[in-house]
Amino acid sequence: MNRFIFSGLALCTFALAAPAQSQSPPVEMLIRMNVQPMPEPKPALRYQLLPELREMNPGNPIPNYLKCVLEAEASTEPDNLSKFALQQADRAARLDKADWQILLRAKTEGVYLLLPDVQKMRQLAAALQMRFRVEVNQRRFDDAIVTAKTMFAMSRHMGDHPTLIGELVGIAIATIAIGPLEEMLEQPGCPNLYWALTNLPHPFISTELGMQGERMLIQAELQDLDDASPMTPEQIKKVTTRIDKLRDLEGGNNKKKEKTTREWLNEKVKEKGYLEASRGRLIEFGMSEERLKEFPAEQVVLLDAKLDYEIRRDEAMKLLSLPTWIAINKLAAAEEAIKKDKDKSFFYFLLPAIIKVRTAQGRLEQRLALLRCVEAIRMYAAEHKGKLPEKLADVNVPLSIDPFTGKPFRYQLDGETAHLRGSPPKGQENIPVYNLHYEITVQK
Amino acid sequence: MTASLFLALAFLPAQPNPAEPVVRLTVQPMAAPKPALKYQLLPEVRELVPGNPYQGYIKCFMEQRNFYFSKAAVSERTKILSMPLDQLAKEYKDYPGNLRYADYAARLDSLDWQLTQRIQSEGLEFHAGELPALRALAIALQARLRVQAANKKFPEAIEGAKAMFKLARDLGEYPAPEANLFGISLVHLALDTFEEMLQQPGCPNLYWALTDLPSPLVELRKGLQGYATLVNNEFKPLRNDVVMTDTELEKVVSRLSGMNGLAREQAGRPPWNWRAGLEERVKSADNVRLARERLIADGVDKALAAKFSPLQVILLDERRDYELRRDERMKLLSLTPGEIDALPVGKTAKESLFQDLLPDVMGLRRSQARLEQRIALFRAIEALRMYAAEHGGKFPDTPAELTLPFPTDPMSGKPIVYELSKGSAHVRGAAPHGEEKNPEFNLHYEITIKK
Repeated sequence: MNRFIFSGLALCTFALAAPAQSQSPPVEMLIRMNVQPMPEPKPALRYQLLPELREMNPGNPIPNYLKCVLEAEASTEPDNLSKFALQQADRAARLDKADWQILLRAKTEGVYLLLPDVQKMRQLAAALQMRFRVEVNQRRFDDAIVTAKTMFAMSRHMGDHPTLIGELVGIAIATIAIGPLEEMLEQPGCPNLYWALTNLPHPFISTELGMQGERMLIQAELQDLDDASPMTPEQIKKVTTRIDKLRDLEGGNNKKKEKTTREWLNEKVKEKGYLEASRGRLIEFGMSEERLKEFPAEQVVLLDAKLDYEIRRDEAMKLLSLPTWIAINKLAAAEEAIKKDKDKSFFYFLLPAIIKVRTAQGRLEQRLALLRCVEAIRMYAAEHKGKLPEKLADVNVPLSIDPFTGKPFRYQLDGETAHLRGSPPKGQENIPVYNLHYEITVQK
Repeated sequence: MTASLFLALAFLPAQPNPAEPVVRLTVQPMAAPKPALKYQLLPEVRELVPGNPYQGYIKCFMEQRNFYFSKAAVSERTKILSMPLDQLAKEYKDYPGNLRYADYAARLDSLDWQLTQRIQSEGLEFHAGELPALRALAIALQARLRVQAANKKFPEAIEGAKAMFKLARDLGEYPAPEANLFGISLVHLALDTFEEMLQQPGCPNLYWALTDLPSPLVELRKGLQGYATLVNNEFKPLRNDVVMTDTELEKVVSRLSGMNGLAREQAGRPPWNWRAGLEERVKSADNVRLARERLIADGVDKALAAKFSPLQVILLDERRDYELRRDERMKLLSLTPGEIDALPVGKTAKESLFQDLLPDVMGLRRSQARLEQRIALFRAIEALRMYAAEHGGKFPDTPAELTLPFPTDPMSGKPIVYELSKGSAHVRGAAPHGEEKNPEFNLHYEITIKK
């Protein structure tokens, strides 16, 4: 993973999001499941997918996760985590106070904040996934549940990371855990996890802290842009230099040569009416007219550009808490509007890829919800001599709606095979990972 | 003694007394800095940032495998640590690596090794897994210090050394003695390089910086308590409030036999048939009777004790005996080795069944005192440099001529031995009882003024 927030985020979203759209017909990701009917466990919450309070101990899980990979790093086989390292991960996942200890650094280092530990969490998750699969294969369900809890707890702890990258890695880790979990549901004798899945928090990974972190990181980058007192030419130069570095970072090596911030400023200051309009907008948003008169023109233009960025950023961020199917559509429209106005917004490049993050979050929610449906179907089959329901509504437990449509999941019974489908978000119709199709049959 | 100190000593000419090899230093006179505490060796409060240094130290290694563990990087560090300083200065103007995260970690204010719960619940297999990696960090920090010292970048070197001293001090808070010992060896690494740095022209006087260090610099208390807790956990299945079944007792015996064997092997002692020793004790009716009486005297219900099998009685009595012996050792921790040596020697009791699980308090305390002694000797050297700066490059005839306090030897509790001979000053540390011929415990610095 690249060390900086910008490119790291781009990579993460790339890893989670789907490949580019093509013109080929819709392709589904088919997951065939041959399951046993299974009633709910008694007590109903006997199995859970996150550590319960009674399992927890005081402590900070984060250094304890990192310790798991530390020993391997010092060994000749850095990619092979030992049994003891994974046991350490189990312990870490059951500590009660996650603290990434990066707040102060994030406040000062801005987008240059290093996140080497985040990538290591993925390595740990991959090793845990292997153990999870072995446990599933050997039908050691109690052990497998312990590992599932560890992985889901890790994933949630990533959700406490105050960056969007951290949260995307959290989503990725939960997705890594879901693979073996699906395999487990097919194993004879696998307990029914309907209530365990129902009992998971929603959303499983919140993006709230990451979004706040995003605001904080950019604030750190622009902290030298003073809105209280007039800036000297040296102070303005310091700000423009920092912005230039940011712009270089955003574009990477392939970026075409653009105007420097100084050149852009010179142009805007000379542009007829631009300075007055900037000043007017700042006054409109509450800045003192008297004070603004003392500010040099460059400072006024930069403050106006910053205000413009904050408005555009919040227009997108405010949509995040809406239900997925509403948020995605509105974010797509907001993104379109931003693209259209790209040339008018100097800090366009700082706007986070919110729709990608929200879509990744929705995809995880959809997958967990689909598994909940599978378990409801297994429960129904246990109560109806192995028969699958004609309609999804026939199951007598509540089911989630499809996060991408706000409607029930698509379900169809075809003889002795049930077809359960999730719908893709708008624009992702041809991408297999957004077209999940569970084909469910009952073991004879 | 640290590897690099051994290396330095190996190149010295043969000494008249092989038990007391001389470390020869040629130094410049140097007055105290102004302000006096301009240089310090531990981060000050004004530098601290909220956070847990443990997390910071571990984070140093994330995505840094190549830097810390690749053959090329290890080989380069070895080269940096072994090259003469003047040659090092020619080849390296700066240290080839970024250790700023270690510097940051050392300035976090709330250390928590996150081990309390584990120490309270695990047994002697407890494994301090982060220590090998932290050793790699220590070596990297020493290599950086050496490059800075070679290039006479003294303020940077002292700033960088703070991370070494702080990490060492933090290791003193680790609840395992091996980590405490590692902390002690880490300070020796820094002092090895300081020996060279003090000889560099213009090196600031570190008398007050060394004087300002806490004493002891690296604690042993948590480590020994942690170890005692782990042993105690091993004894937990051995009950004195119920009659244990044969199966339960066999489980306890099997576990304790394994742990004793492991401890014995780790201490380098010859193998011993622990089970045979136990059986011998259990077979002796007198032995069992006396053990039962001791248990009752110790508060075990008489009626209940009467129901205990001979095996349970012997195991409980041996545990009681172990606890007595353990505390007899642990209580000495706050005394100087000299004070411990002066204590009357008690009569030697029969070897305990759990002898191999007893903590090596004396060995640890001597290692700690040896470090304190080396720091005291450095203080003495710096006091002499300061005196020389005020007296035309001359050393005093006796320590009484110094206006500064001349340090006490932490090993003996008496003043550091000082002698002026043919214009060179000699400072020596005292050896503890029984180590008079051990070069490790006979530090001797010969200091000459650079002309």
